[in-house]
Amino acid sequence: MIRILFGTLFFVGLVVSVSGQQTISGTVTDADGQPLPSVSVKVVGSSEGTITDVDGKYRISVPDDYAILIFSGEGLETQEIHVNSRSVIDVEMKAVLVSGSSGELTTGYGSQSKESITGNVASVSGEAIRDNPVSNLESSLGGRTAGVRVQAGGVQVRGSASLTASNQPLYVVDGVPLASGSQSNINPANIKSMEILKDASASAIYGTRAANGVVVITTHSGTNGKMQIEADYQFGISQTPKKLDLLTAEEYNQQVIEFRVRQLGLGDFVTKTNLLIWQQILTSTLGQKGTDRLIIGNVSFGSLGPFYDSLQYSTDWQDAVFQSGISQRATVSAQGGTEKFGYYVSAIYNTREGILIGSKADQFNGLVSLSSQVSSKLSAKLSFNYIYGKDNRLREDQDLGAPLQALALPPSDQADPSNNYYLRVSKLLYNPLTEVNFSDNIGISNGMIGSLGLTYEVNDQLSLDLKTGIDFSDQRDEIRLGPETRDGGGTFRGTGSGRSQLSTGEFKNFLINGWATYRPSIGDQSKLSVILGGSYEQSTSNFTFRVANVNGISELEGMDDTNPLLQESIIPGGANAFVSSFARINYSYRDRYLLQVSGRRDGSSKFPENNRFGTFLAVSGGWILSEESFFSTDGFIKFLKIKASYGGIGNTPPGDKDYRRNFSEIAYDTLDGYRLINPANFALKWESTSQLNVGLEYSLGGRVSGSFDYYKKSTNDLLFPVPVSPTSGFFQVTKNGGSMTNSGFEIGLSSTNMDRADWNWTTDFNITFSKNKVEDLGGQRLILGSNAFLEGYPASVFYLRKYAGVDPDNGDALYDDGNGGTTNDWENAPRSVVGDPNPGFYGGLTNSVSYKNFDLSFMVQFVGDVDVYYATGEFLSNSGILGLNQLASQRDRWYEVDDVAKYPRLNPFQTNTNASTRWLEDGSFARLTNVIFTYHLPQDKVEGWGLTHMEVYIGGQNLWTLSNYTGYDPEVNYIDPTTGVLGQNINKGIDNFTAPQPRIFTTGIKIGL
Amino acid sequence: MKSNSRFIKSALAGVLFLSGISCNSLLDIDADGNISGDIYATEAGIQNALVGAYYNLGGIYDGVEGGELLGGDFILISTLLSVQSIFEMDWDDANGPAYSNFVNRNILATNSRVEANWRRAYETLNTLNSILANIDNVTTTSEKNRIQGEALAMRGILYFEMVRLWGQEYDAATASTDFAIPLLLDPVDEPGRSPDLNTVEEIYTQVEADLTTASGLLQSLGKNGTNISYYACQAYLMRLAMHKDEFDDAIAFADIIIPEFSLTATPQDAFNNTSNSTEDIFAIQQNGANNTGDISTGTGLTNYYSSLNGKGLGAMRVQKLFLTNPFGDFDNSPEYDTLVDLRGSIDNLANSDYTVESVTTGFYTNILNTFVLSPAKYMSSDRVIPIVRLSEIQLTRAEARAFQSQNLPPDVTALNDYNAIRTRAGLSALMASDFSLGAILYDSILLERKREFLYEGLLLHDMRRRGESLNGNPAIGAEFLLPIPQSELDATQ
Repeated sequence: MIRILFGTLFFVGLVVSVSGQQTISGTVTDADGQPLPSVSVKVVGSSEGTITDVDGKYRISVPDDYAILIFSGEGLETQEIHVNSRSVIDVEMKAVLVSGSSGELTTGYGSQSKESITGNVASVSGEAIRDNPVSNLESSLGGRTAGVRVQAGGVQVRGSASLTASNQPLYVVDGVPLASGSQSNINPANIKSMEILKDASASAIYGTRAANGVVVITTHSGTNGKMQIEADYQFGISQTPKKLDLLTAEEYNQQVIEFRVRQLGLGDFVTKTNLLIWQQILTSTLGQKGTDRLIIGNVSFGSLGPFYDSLQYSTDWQDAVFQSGISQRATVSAQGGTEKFGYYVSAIYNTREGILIGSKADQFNGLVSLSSQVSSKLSAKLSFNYIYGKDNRLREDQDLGAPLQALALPPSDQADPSNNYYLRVSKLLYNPLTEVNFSDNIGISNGMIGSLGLTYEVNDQLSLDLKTGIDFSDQRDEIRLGPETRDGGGTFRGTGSGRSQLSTGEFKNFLINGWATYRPSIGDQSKLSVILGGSYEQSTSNFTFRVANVNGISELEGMDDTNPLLQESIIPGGANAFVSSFARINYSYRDRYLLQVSGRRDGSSKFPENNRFGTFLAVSGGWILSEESFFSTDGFIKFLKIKASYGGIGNTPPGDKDYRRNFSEIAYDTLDGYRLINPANFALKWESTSQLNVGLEYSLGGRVSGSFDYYKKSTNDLLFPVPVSPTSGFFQVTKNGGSMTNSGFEIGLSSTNMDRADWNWTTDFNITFSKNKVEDLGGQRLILGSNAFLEGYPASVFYLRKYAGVDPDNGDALYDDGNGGTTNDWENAPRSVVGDPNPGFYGGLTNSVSYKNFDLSFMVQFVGDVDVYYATGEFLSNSGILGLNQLASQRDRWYEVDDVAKYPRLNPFQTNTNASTRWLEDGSFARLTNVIFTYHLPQDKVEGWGLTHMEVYIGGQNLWTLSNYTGYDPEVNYIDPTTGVLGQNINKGIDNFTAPQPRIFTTGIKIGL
Repeated sequence: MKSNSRFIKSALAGVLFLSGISCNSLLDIDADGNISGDIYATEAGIQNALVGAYYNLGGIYDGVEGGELLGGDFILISTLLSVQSIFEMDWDDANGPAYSNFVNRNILATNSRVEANWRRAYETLNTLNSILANIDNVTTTSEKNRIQGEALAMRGILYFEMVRLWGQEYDAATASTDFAIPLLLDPVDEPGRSPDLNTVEEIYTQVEADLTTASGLLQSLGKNGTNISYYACQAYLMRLAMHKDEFDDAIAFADIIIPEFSLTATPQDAFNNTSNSTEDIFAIQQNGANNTGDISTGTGLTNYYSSLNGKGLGAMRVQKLFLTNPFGDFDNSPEYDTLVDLRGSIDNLANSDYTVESVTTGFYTNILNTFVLSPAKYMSSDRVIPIVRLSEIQLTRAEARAFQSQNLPPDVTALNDYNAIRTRAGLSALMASDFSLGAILYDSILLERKREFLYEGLLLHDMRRRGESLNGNPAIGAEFLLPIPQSELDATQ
């Protein structure tokens, strides 16, 4: 083929006469015979090119009969067709059904065809995620591709590789690496494709921060052709997928009686039936005076305390805090262009209510993308994303402030809407309804991601690219607590002046990079491309924080520095820069032996001068067996490739100047002063990750394709806090030291099960088996809450005391004493490794079926071999601790001697929840989600209305979950906002009054004009 | 073709050149307002560091921690350790759980207040040591003397307060073998293993040396505004002398201080002021923006002592019977005549509308628990916290002189000091003839100390230096001592 190419060029170069030119014409249609407009038709080796018109017709000049035409279009399989002395060539083009089966993938600094990639790149098309009503972009990746797992804290690619630095992958939007976190607010409808670079050779080209993988997001850009306008509207309803079974008002009152009776030392008289009898007596004698309403033993009660008789209400607290959330999204986009100039403009507005009261979010995305062939050699692409989000958040408080914590309130009490929602009986009890109704917690973010790229084709061997980008983001968090709430009020509710807090953050990221791509001709058997370039990136941030006891954000903003009520913190800003040079060489021999070598030298301002630069290399190779002569092209195996890659990537510490002593500004009396934040560490260096990837890709019989990959990632020089003597003024100091490995197997499979005229059915399946181990922590142990980083175990293992049941003689909770026996002394019972929140395997199975004008697609997502710690149970499922409402299961607690009970006796004196494996559960699940059923209205009808196409659809998200888990949702991860990045990394698999993912029903309509 | 290859060669060379340049200058980026590196190289930086030391000494709330050291726990912890029983004062364990250990006199090494105070004290000491190590960078001589004096004085004060809480009581016979806390005089550059402990003798010697040198440097500055002054140094030297039973020295120090200050008109005027009173020899400054915290932060003396609306939780629940001791049940009751002694007066009408100015008595009804009382000291977080008051100097001089004249007729200076405090509190002045023997005056002075300094954290140290007992347990016993915190013990490995 290359021989023909060169031959043609040579021929063209020699023969000047125009008369050798021929004109080819024809019609391009899709599989149904419908004409396809805007399909690009090019002549290989020439700058001749055109696009099909609205009827799918084209005309093009070719130099001779040996020319080759390339037909390509968005969402279509590219075809190369030899002219072969024809003058009319009609082409039928197929839509890309099997995801990622052909086409170009963006792999950082240019794109490569999927066949020639030797690294590990997964691709998710924008179409696939477009209509999923997810709350943020990261959630749309769940279950779609092997090696990628989505949790509340973000996306994890091939496990976590760091303890104290972020484990998030690097997000690159239109070539701009984001520092601001704006990717969460990008609406999937604006995305053309997402590529996830998982191994070293794919991400080495990005260097720093690529240790956790790279998610390359490409937004829509203009295509040639007449202006097309698309509009759609989606409407959805979200609900809680599950309700927990809690005690009824009567059962709770019995628990109150037991609490009081045991408090008074009369526990011996308690039995399950007696509690019921006593409750009935107290109910039937309501209002009676006298001191012997109830007699237990030889103690007579006139009442059970002043409040018990008032506990006569019945409230379903779950109904009080859950709501049906309405969400709506409207999108309008226009695209079009000529050969020389294309544009894509879109606006998306999205508003979404959460399933808990007080939670709501609005989002607006604007996108303008222009591409232009300025001259025959120079092309430019400009894209500009504007992202606005306004999020009414929930309190993350640990008292009964966050809405779900209302479940612990007495069901026999009631909130009084006319008295600030305080409870009628226990007025002083802190309750979420008051907090939500009289406080605001709003996060507003305004972001802008812009990029300008210029490509200059010097000649057909050399092209130069220059790209500049910006990522600006302005974030504002407003918290207002009214005087009715606990923290906003005085010691007495309703008095006090409220409390308001405002924190702002401004992030600016600027980048410029340039590279040269050189494709020399080195013989007809080989292809070589060399990319050489450099980049500079700079990020700055600054923050403000102010708080005062006032009831309004505008009042807070209006206060000037001299106001004695105002407390303003000076938060140091951040600034850091990266300077890099990089190179990548791709070599292929005979289209079957592939080699890629890439390297990058990064310098970061985050390290001391002697350690600033790091060199990261990666090498990968591939062998396309199916191109070998011993493989027949008509055989069953259409494509078979084996590949391997190995390389190193670095990770930087979270702080900008952690290597120096840093001071914060403080004030004492009227004077300003400095306070040391961290000691110097001039030995600070890069965390380095080396990754090995070995894989096999295949395509069988034209219907089935898939891949197997094995990976092993080792991270060394991990930054983690080493405990030191506090006589230094610090409890711990961050040092490079530890090491960790992640390894696993990824399997992907796509098959076209049925491909007939009317019927089509495809299946995509992916599964990942993964293992993680903390190899070395220098002899340290890091324990935070129920999780720990311990040498020789997976990161964040559950480290708890083992619960050993209930002592039938006295109802005490028993724990493993470490010597083969049991003890009721929780304090001295030893802790051990009892579970792992990192899943053993996870994946997704997606089926897409279409029949004539109907499409149905649905996904089953699954996670297995994983543990979850139900921390909510420490309060809600703990034998009536602290007098809180309980799950209905706690009815089966121990009441009297010789009870063989599952749960211990109610202990009115216990204040410590005594964490143990009592609440450690299996978190495996399978979930039916991403269901969409679409009807495409018939073309002729639609065209009669002046539209190019119209679809209506209904769908659902998280429709059904199969799991043994006690709580709402096994796929939760509570993050304590006070513990910083280390806390986020170490605390995994904790459910602490965490809200479930909603069950969402959607319906929508899409039209094209 | 030729031009192509030349072009290619120069382009490649250009890119390689660019990547080969030492791009270090591009990486020398810094955010505005970031303070880092060596601040001790300049006079301004050293002055800022000294303010930072005051900030930590006062335990100012920083968003996470507040109420440590002099601005809170040194007063609160020693108060709680000297509470006899819940019939004297019922500590609210639900609202002050971290302090329950002290009330029960069963302090775990993992206690969060022990850890927090230890760390913050050594943070302050590291700052002071850095200042002293770099003091020659202060070029102005007068400033150099002042900064050096204040730093040495603060170091002496801090080590003294720490050894009083963590170390055994000073006993000349055993002080050189009683190990207490690490005595660090150089800044810690490489945080790491735990240092060795030093003896009570070594620490007392260093404290004396530091305070004496500081006195020399600060003498010319008089009261030195709200900073540590010559007089504060003398006051601490006096306290130290009392612990060593060196009464003549204590008297001499008191003689220097007393003429320079005057008692406030009433006992209540000595507390809850927005700026230092005439009686304050050293006080921790607080204002609305920078303070140790209150009910809104859950930290600070105000949070625990005060029960005023929006100020505190009133965790300190004082029982009225303790104030008057009608049945003689208590070892340390002030035995107030609540109708005459202003310090023991009670406002029974206190309610949720009360502000700091509404309280004019020594105690008021605890607004959150109306059966008990709240003390009227430290009612709001924007008021000054007195650390050393003139009345302490006067009563200490009186105690020292009376101790020396126990078998003689009552000492006149002692009697005058004693009467000054009594009359200020609304009691009548007594005459020498009211005391047949100096020993009786001595006992009366000890009682007057209990009345004057109730809940100010002095009682524990008084009991220990005099060898007294609480509930039959000697105050120098182990249960009155703070343990070395667990994180320090863990770092010995």
